[in-house]
Formats: sequence, structure tokens, C-alpha cells
Amino acid sequence: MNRTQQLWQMTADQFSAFDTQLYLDTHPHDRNALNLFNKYQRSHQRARKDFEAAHGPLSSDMESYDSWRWVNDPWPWEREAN
Amino acid sequence: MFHYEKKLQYPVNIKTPNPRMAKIIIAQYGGPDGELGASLRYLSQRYTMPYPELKGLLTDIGTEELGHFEMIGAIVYQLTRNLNIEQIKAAGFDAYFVDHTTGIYTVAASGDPYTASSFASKGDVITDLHEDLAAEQKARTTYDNILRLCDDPDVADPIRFLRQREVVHYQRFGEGLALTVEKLNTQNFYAFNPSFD
Repeated sequence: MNRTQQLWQMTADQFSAFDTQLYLDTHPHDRNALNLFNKYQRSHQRARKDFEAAHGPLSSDMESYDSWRWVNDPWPWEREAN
Repeated sequence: MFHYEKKLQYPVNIKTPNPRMAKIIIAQYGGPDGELGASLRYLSQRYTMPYPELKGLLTDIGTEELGHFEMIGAIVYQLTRNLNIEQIKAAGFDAYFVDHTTGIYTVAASGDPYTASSFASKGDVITDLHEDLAAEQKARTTYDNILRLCDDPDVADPIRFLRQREVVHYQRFGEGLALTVEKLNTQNFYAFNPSFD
């Protein structure tokens, strides 16, 4: 997968988990929704790990690398990042 | 606390700059029903919410709105890249340009700067949730209007995503209101002011 495909996969999983999270806020005892959340969240974590290994950190509090890749372009509002 | 994640909630990749479109879409950056106001509304109202479900919901939606604020900033930024003066004049972007060049600033489409008087934090769960339901519909209407004016699929795609989020938030706030009414004293038929007294 290229960067754009990887980003799309990770973004889709993250969004699915987040949208389920909002639902769980008003339905905290819904077991099915909780299972769905866990599934999306696990998939997101895996996709994110792969993405970060290839393209640099998405959050400044993660493990430090040999170089400070946090500042590298592109930043999210630039076309190249999307 | 808050933490930055170096990605957009939904991708923005606009090939063709269009300052006329930017002038319209900036409504959702600093306008009365925009994403900044939405975020401030929910992140301010959450403190006096009486129930944990609502504290969670307002925190999570308020945080998502900050991500939408960033997406709108990205759209306006990409619509105003690499412009020459002729394009700026032809698009009627000159009034914005003289004040901000192509810097991204919180104004409404009318040019009025962002004002916090566009939202309320009333300290009353019933009042605040009704404000939130109305706010989501007002933002949805604004996105419908933007889509009526927009002919670039690169722009319409993320705008449609943002419009859908207004619909989902409206649904969640409706559930929040329903569970609030359920938790009120059964004698409180008219559902008022449970968070202060």
C-alpha cells in the first residue's frame, strides 16, 4: 500500500471507532456496540503502527526515533498529506 | 488535556484553487454556525452537565469539532494557494486579501470576525441541549447552502462528510436529551433546570 492508501485505511478504522464511541456515550451498556468499538480500535492501532513506522509519528509523545521526524513535512492541511 | 494528532479526521485534497469558494466556506471557520463556535460551545457547556453520559458526549463532540475546524482551515488554505492578483480581484477576494493576505482568519462569509455571542452556555442541561440540537441543524443548513454553491467534487467531498457529522451529532444530542428527561424527577413534567437547584 502506498501512503495515501495506508492513510485512508487508518482513517477509516479510526473514524469507525470514533463514531461508535459517540454512540457508546449515550448507550454505555450496549454490548454489541462495545464489541464493534474494540474491533475497530484494534484495527486502527495496527494500521497506525504500520503508518507511523513508514511515514513518521502522528503524535509528538510517541517513542523517539533516531531523528526528530515530528517536524517533517507534510503537515495535515497540505495536499501532499492527504 | 488536549493532544495533537498529525492528520485530518477526513482527507482534504483540492487540486484547483478557488478564492470565491474560499470566501464562502470560511463561514464554517469563523461564522455564527461554524466549527470553532461548535467546539467552544460543547467544551464550555460540559462543565455543568449533571450526568456522566453528557460530560462524555460533549467532551467527545467538542473535540471532534476542533478537528472539523482544522479541516475547514485546510479547505480554505488549499483553495487560496498560488493565486495571482488578477485572480484575487476577479474572485472578489480583494477585501479579505487586504486585511489578511492569504492568512487563515476566523471570519464569517460576511467578513465579520468570529464572535462568541454566536453560542450560549447557560448552565442548564435542558437549555444547553436544545441549543446544541439547534446548532447542529444550523450547521447542517450552512453545509447544504455551501453544497448548493459548490461545483468542485474535491471540495464537495469533505463538505459532505462534515454535513453528515452534523446529522449524527444531532442524533446523539437527541439521545442525550431523552436520557436527561428520563433521569429527571418524575414530578418534573415540564423538564426544567435540574442542574442548579
